[in-house]
Amino acid sequence: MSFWRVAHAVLRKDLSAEWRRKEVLTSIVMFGLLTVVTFVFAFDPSRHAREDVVPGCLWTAYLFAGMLGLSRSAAKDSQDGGMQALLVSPADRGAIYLGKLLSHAIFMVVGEVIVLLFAVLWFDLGSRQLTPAFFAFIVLGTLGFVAVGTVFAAVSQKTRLKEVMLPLLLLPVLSPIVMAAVEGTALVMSPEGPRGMKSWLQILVAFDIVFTTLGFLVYGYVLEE
Amino acid sequence: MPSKFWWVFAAYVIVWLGIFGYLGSLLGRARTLEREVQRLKDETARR
Amino acid sequence: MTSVDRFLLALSAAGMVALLYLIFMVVPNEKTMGFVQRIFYFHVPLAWVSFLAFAITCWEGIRYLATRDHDHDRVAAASAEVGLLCVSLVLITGPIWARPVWGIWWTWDLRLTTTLVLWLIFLGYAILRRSIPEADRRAVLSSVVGICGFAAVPLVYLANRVKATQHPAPVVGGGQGSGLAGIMLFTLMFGFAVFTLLFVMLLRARTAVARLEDAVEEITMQPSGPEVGHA
Repeated sequence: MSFWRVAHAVLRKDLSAEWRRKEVLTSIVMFGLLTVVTFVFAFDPSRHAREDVVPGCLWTAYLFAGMLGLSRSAAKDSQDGGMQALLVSPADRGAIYLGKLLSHAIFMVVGEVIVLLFAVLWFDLGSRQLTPAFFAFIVLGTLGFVAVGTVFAAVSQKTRLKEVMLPLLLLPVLSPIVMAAVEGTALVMSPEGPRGMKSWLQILVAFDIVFTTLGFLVYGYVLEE
Repeated sequence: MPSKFWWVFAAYVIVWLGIFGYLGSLLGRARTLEREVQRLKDETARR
Repeated sequence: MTSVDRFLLALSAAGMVALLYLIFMVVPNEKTMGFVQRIFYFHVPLAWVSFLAFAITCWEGIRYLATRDHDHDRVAAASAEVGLLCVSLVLITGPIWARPVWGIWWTWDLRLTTTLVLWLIFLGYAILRRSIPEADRRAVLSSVVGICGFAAVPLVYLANRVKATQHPAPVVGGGQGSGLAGIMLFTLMFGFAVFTLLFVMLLRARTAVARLEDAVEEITMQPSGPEVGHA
């Protein structure tokens, strides 16, 4: 099978399985919403400026919900035989990574948009906040998250601690993403305008390039183990 | 005695204890393991 | 202990004595921070050594994946363990220095935060190693995590630097390297040399232990081998 056919097959398998059961997406959305609500209980948003609370709240929700989704997806891979069959074949490991990366990114973005819809109502966000730059931060941050997350979720699944291992490995490595996404989104939303946003976008792009390349190179070693 | 002597003292003691304690434990472990390897080899040879 | 190890031990012990002489007998007090600034000559070399240690973990991880020679994995694991010890000492000595000078134990500045994240990354690496019993699997997975963890360090630093330039700098975070000259600079460089030597010695000792552990396991795993007992 050619590179693109493998990537496409992996993506389609994940999406159709998800379409039937909706396990990953349900856990992302539910956990994301609950994190936002918990955040509101912990930090009363009426007492803070919106740009001080909303970016941190959204990204905390995205991260933790995303980790839950990644764990679910990796657990499913290790249980069903589809991945094993693919590994016996000489299919390109980079293509498998690309397929998984895309399916995780799609789950994440769909979940993020649903959580965002609630956040728009709850925090009264409008076109002033939801600029193209806002979505650029979501897309680039999510790409970085799944680039490392796809690899580390597969790693964690093969340890004794399973899904408990994932946040221990992932959160420190993701700290540049968290800082860049939260600070950048805060700049977008701030009344003074998005000055200084460019350096955060650069960090996100650099992170995405470094970790998609690394993931592409190392994912095969993890799968075969 | 210079002011804040004890802060510096504490920092140096902690670093020394950390490094040389670790080194000592490594050397101890190496010695135990060497004996263990020797014992196992002897036992295998006797069979 | 081989003769090389003995030589390294003697050399680094002598170097340590000379370094202590330089720090407490030769170097003058730093103007604004006074006597307590002498922690600097241990603190900064330790930070350098931990960075070096994790670079080695990353490099040996790459080599393991390329060759599947377990000795690379042993060196990677040993280096990460020694590095973890050194970052821990950096994170302990830092606050001991900060408290009398700045009046606080901790501040979220560029170097402190980066060091903390480095510590967390390799704490995760250590926990990962402990939670995989199979040797081959442990070697592959920890190589992958070691490589990714080390690749994140420059990005963590950059992100913190952008943050530092956008937020008002903390009053306490004055630059350290500026205006360091003469005997102070020499002492610092000498500290780098001594701690690098010390690191090499610890790395060799830790790797030797790992080799012996694997040797014991190999003998006891043989079908005709003896039962595991106590020496």
